[in-house]
Amino acid sequence: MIEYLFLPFIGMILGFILGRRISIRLNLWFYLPVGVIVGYLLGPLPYYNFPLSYSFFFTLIGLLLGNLTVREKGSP
Amino acid sequence: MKITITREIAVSLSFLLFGAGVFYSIYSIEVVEGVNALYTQVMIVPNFVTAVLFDWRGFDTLGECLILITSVLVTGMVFGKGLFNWDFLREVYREEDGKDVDLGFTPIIKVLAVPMAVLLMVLGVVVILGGHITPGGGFQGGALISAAYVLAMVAFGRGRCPVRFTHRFLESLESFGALLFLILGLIGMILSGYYLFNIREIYGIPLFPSPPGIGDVGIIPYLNIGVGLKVLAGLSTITTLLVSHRIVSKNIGRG
Repeated sequence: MIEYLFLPFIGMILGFILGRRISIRLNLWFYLPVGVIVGYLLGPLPYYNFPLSYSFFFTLIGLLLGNLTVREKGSP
Repeated sequence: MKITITREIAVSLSFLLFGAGVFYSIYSIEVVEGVNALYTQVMIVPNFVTAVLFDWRGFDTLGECLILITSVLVTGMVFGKGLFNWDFLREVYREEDGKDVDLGFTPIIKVLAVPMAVLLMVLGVVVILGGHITPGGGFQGGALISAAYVLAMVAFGRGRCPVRFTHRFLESLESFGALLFLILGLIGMILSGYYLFNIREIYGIPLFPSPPGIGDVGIIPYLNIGVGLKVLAGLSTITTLLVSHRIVSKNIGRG
């Protein structure tokens, strides 16, 4: 299991670091469906074992987590 | 004064480590015949592209990183300390609020810029992480994330840009990326005697767990991450300096 989830986990960390740097609050209910759609359109990237790019989805979740919890405050 | 001394020690150590690595490798350089066949037989790397990019051309990639560092340094010198004092950096990265020019973009651009920038950033991270088995890699992924920053900057202007890459953040990413590459190279040298040798596992634990069939990819994804962070930081720094032309011009001659 860890073989499949290690890469998305690293993606989540990188996404978290980047999400922290977006100063406006991102809407969770907009980005989650969009993430699923874009992940589906990307296809099995980079591992060929699932119809959608779950690495993309996990990275997006990491970015949203970083943005919604510890984002840099300030006027956009 | 203390910061300057710390910085000088850090620079000296980096030069020492990197110089020792390069000289040692040049001294004991050896090209193995049929190295591609050897690599794919023993599954050190998953495919030929990766073998060429990071095993054959690991030094080339390291050189590319150094070229990027040099270009950022030169840009910084041309737009930075070479002509001005250090204070302008604070203004460039909005620690002091500067006036901004609204170029009058339509709401369509402003509404679309943020979601597109977010998705571009995520795609950039995926391209960096999948660089060892799919087309892409550190440079391309870093450029994608940087493109997201440029998109937000163009749409909203420097002062109101929702993507806040501060000077300190970019500096940290740049240093971390370069150090990660150098240190991974040194670990290879310590364990095998060859700089940037692709170590597959340590005490039976794979360095980057991957699904079966791909093989142990070793340090290659980490090298990709290092290159990606460096490219992201370098291109973003150059963009910020170029966008802040007005502040830079204002500060000419003050140094």
